[in-house]
Amino acid sequence: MDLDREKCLVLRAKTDAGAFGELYDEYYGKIYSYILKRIANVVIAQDITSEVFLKALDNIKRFEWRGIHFSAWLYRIADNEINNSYMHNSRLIRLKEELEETARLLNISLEQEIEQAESHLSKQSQFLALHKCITQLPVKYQEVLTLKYFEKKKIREISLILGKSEGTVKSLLHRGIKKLKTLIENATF
Amino acid sequence: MEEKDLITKLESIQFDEIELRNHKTLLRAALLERHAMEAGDFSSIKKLLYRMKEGVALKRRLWRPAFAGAMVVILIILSVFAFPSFLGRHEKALAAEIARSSIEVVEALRGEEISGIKTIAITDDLATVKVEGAEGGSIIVKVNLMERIVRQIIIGELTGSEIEKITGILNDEPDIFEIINQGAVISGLQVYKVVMPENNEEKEPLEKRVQVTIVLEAKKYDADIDIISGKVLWFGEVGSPGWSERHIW
Repeated sequence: MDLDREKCLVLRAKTDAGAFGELYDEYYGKIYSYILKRIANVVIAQDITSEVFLKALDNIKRFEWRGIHFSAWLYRIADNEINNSYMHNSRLIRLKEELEETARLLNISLEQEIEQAESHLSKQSQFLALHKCITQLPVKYQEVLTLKYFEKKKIREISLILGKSEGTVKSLLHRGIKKLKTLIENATF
Repeated sequence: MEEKDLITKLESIQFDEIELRNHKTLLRAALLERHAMEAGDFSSIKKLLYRMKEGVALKRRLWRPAFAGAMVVILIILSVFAFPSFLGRHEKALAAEIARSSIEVVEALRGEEISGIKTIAITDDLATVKVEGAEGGSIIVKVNLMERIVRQIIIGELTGSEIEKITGILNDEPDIFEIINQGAVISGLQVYKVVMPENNEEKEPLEKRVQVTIVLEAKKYDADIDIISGKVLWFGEVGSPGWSERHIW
């Protein structure tokens, strides 16, 4: 989505549910995928994705286009949620119940979808092996490595998402690679 | 392993994207409903109900009753002073709530828990609400919004033998027989009440009431009959005295 269109949609989304829906359609997959790559757990990634968009909805009226794109803002919310150890709040529990109830009414199976996704994820052994090592690093390295190598983001984009200078991002990447290399060399799997 | 090898390995990692289409669809609907609520498409009373629901779910037990109590007081005040505008703007939610809280609706679903409720249409003050049961049953409920009562419940279809029986019952009623002889035609049949025996093993209803609409030129008549007893319970012209009160339980 080009930046002008995104700006226009964000402005409209403050009062127009349809515009919010368009932004959601654009970014649901990307945000879910990023969270999944950070935590490698289908169910928790699904819950955090719900929480990210709930928070986006809560705060869209206050969102101002100052140095951070909407998409980067979503990644930033996702990072906060992941780093806050995924607080299982009552609002999210109620949302989950609501989704499950709607799924039942529409005769849709969420469980089956999760099972399929878990099966799919379990087959990605190369990713899972690397992920296992990355998760042993401090969070600041996990963020940059995931964004750079799994999300294929540019340094500039990573700096926007994390709110850090490009120099800091480069430095984190450099040190992150060194630490990851050591971890892999010492790994017993 | 050299650092450059690790970077190459990281760069060449292929991650097959995983989609959760159902979750995406359901979450979208839930978010857009919340957005509509925040944007003011819903009534202040519905917002309060929502807030009350949120408040009752507060983790801190100490605040839970206080919050709920305060909300109930606000609701009572609003329902007394703001009722006319509430009724004017939010008929759909009101109709659904009247249907949901109706004993007749619960009885018509024959013990099934209500799993879905939706106001399909509103004409003047009469709302048509679809109520779905958890075990697959569904009924249509007509709600009078001004009087805040369920006027009619439409249940299921009629069998061929039941329609034959209805014809017989109508022909046995002299007033109806007379207008049929003048060329009147049956324009509609709707089951509006079924009473089942308390003993669930019995499958035959004790009562099965049907509203028959008969048209003779510019005039329209309604006849309420009970197929089981074979009786005509009410017959008269649409709009005549007693016509609007006859489906009150």
